[in-house]
Amino acid sequence: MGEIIRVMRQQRYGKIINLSLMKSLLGVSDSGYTAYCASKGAVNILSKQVACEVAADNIMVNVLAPTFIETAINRHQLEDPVFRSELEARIPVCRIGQFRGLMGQMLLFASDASQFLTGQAMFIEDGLSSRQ
Amino acid sequence: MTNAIFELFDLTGKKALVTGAAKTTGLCYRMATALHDAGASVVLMDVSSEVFTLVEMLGGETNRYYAVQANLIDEASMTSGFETAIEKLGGKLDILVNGAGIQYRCDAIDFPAEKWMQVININLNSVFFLSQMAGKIMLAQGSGRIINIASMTSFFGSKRIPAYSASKGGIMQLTKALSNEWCGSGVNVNAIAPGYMLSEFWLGKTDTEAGRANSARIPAGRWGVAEDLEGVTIFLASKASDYISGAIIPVDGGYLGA
Repeated sequence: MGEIIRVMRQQRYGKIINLSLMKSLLGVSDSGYTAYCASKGAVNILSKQVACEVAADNIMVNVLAPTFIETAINRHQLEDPVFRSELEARIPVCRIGQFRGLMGQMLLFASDASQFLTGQAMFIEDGLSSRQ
Repeated sequence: MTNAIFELFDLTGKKALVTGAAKTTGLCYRMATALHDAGASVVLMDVSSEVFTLVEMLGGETNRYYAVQANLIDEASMTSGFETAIEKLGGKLDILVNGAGIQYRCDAIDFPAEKWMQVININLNSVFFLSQMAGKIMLAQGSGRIINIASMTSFFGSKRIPAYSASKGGIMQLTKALSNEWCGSGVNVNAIAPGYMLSEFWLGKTDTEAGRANSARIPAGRWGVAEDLEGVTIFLASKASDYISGAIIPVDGGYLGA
């Protein structure tokens, strides 16, 4: 982000959007995600810190943190009906997120519609983190 | 950018109710006009009769603005006002902005019971009961958006405003509780948490000791203005936030991150 911020400071304008995940907020019961979860948590707090340092330069720094979003890479996992149904059961809307669900948030963060919104990690998860 | 992407934010044909919107200097007034400018028909509801003058100034019913006067402390007035609003919107409700709120400042030890009840009734209880009435319509429709107004004091306590802080903490959890029950049925419930905004109270007071203390802690280097809420309001009211519910979105110039 350093070089990018240098450019944005000269412009007196910038929008930085970092990509995190729900695993930055909640752990998972499967093993093997220790480093991954830690790295995504770091993305969140790094973004907050940088946001504090550059906000006065009119540079906003925010994070997109979706839950499971169907992509070409993970589509094969969703073909397992047990995996799919267990995943859907954890999401209040009971459906898997699609990429289109990220577009609105991304445009919000990238545009002047978020001119006073910075240092935030937006969890795009249809209420998953609102309940036990 | 293609025009198709803008459709995510298009509110044409949507019917909205915004409470606490009768002052042009207020945050909710700008939220209401933002929803209107994105295409919605909007009822402005307020305890003050000034709401009628304001709606007339905005062009009235021919310009998709409607006025309803209702006192949210009085259950009968609140219910009647809501029913009138729905009638004006043709029986449909897509967006509810629970914007009405009051403040009372006093040391906690001396805080009057009457003022405590007033603040909790308007800031929290009326939000639940209006959301309940709206929820019945929206759940039957299979779609809807409820936008509550949280606060910085939803996240941290403050001083001399115990009732306000308690009410805004309640708003944060109420938002999540309603989301848990309703978002699976197409009704997304979210909240905006404005930071330090140049509201009617703070206008002219930012140079006081308290004002300067707040200013020093805002990473953005400026206080917020009502216009800063427009984008997030349209976002939460539209298809652009289809997969977001139970969220509390601070619009605070980075204050909570500092």
